[in-house]
Amino acid sequence: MEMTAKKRTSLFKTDGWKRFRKNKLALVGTALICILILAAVFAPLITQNDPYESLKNESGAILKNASPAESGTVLGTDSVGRDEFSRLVYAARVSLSVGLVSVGISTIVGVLVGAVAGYFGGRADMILMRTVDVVNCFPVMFLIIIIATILKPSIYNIMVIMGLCNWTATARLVRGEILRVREMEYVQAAISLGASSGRIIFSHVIPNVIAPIIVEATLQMAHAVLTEASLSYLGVGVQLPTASWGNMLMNANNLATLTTRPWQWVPAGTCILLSVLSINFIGDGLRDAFDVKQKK
Amino acid sequence: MSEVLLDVRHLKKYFPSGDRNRPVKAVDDISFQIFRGETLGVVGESGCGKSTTGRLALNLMQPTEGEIRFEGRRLDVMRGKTMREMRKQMQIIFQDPYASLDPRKTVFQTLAEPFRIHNREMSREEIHREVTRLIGCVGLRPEHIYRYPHEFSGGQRQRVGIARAIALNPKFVVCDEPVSALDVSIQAQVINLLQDIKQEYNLTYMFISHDLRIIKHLCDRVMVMYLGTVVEIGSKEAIYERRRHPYTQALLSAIPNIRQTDTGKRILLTGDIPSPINPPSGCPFHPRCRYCMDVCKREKPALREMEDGTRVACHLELV
Repeated sequence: MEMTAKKRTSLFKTDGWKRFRKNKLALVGTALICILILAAVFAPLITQNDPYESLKNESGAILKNASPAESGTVLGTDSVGRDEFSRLVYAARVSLSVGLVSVGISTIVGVLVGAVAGYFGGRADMILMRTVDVVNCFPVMFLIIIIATILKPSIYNIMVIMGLCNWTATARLVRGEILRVREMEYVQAAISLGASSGRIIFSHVIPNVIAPIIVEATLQMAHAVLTEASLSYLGVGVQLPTASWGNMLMNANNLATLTTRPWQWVPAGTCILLSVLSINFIGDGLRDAFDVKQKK
Repeated sequence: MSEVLLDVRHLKKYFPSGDRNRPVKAVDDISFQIFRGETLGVVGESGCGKSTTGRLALNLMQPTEGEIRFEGRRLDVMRGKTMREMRKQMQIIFQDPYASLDPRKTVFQTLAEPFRIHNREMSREEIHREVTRLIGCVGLRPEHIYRYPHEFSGGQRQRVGIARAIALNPKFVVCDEPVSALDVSIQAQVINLLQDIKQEYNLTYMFISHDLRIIKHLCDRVMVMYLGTVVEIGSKEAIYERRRHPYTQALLSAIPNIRQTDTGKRILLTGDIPSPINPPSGCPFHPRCRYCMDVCKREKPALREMEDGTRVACHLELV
C-alpha cells in the first residue's frame, strides 16, 4: 500500500509540475514568494540592525526619520529611529504567517463543512448551511475588532479569528461543487464497487473539486494579508513594537510622511502588493497544474 | 437456467414531486426474476423506469416498497459493511462512458480501486498484474493504463468501464444502455465484447436498452416496461414472435427493416407517454391502446401467465 501511494504522488507531481511550469506568471509568483519566505526565515542573517532598537549617531542622538543616506541603512529609519529594512524583513514573518495560518484554518473548516453538507445532504446540509448564513451575517471587521479588544490583540488571536470568520465562502463553494460531482456516474460506480463514504469523498469527490478550492484559498490568502494590514493599520491587529506590513503603513497616516519620507511606507506597501499578486499568480498556476485535461 | 439469482417482488420507487401527495411513480409495483446465467433484456420508452429498476436491483437506490433478494438474501434491508461486501458480486456498466470514469484518475487508478477496496493485502505488483490482465480482457493495450479518460474514444472508455465492472469477478451485471452513447460501428464491437465476457466469467446480465435489435441479439428473456409497470415478460421468442400485448406489438413494429417497404404495417401510437405523476386509471396503456375496452379504463390488469410461460398484463383474451 505504502509503495503504491508513493508512486502515485510522485507520478502525479511530475505531470502537475509540467503543467504548472507552462504558466510563466505563476513561476514568477512562486519565485517572489520563495524570496519573501526565505527572507522571513533568515531575517537575522540578512539584517544588520535589531528591528526593535533605535539607531543612534556618534553623538548618541536618536536617528529619527532619517533617510537611507543619512542613516547609512538600506531603507532609512522610522519616527522612533528603528531600522526600516530590519522591520520590513521581520514583518514578513508576521504578515505571511498570519495569511497562511488563517487561510489554512478557514480552508480546512470550509472544506469539511461543505463536504459534509453537500455529500450527506438532508438535515446535515440544512443545519450547516444555516450556520454558514449566520456566520456570514457577522460584520467580520467589527467582530475582529471586538474580539481582539476583549482577548487583547495578538497575532495568534488574529489568525484564529480570521480563520473562523472566513470559511463560509469556501464551505458554500465546496458544497455546490460536491452537489454537482456527487451525481456523476463515476461516484455511482464507486458506490457500486463498495467504496466507503470516506473513500468516495477523499478519493473521488475532493480531487474533482480541488481546483476551485485552490483558487478560492489563494484569493483568501491575498485577502487575509490585506485584512491583517487593515487591522494593524487600525491599531487592533499586530501590536507595536512587533512589526507587520500593516502597522508599518500606519506610520504613513500624515501628510509629512507621505510626501517627504517615502522610505517609511513605499517598501511595506510594495511588499503587500507583491505578495498578494504572487499568491494570485500561484493560484492560477496551481489550477492549471490540477487540470489533467491540459496538454502536457 | 432454472436457479433464481435475483428475485424482485412488488418493487416500488416513488420520487417526491412538487406536490407531496402525488409522487412520481417511477417504478410502480413490479415483480420479476432473473435466472443464473441468463440475459434478461429490459425494453421500454424513455422514462418508463428501466434505469431506475436497474439501480434498484443493485440497491444503489432505496426502494419505496418491495423486496429484492439476491441468492435468497434480502438486499433492500442491507446496510453499511454487509452491503459493501455484497457489492463484489454485482456490478453496473453505465450508459455514458464520458461520465462514468473519474476524469482525474488514470485507467490504472480506476481499475485498481476495486482491489484496493476489497483486497487490501494485494501488493502493487499484484494489482498491476491484475489491471494488465483486465485491460487485455477488454481489448485494450497495456500501455493504455497510464492514460487519462479524456485521451480515449467513447468505445475505449466503455471498455474501461466494462473492465472495472468485471474486476471483482461478479455474478451479476446490470448493463444500463451500455452502447446507446456509442457510434453504431463501435456498438457491435462492444456488444460482442459483452457476450465474450459473459461466457468467460459465467455472468448473468440485466441488459437495459431501447434498441430492440440489440435486445433480440443478446437476450434470453425480455421484459417490456411501460410507465413504471411490466406489461409483458417472457422468452425472447415468445415476445418477438407472438407479440401478445398491444404495446409490445406497437414497439416491435417500430423496428426499422430495410426489406419491408410497406410501412402500413407499422402501428403508430398517438399521444405522448402519460406523466408518471398522474398515471391513467386502470391499465396505464389504455389511452394509447388500439383495443381499449371499458374494463381497461377501470381495472389495472394483473400479469397473467400464458401457456408458454410468458406473463402478460392485458385484459384481452390472450393465449
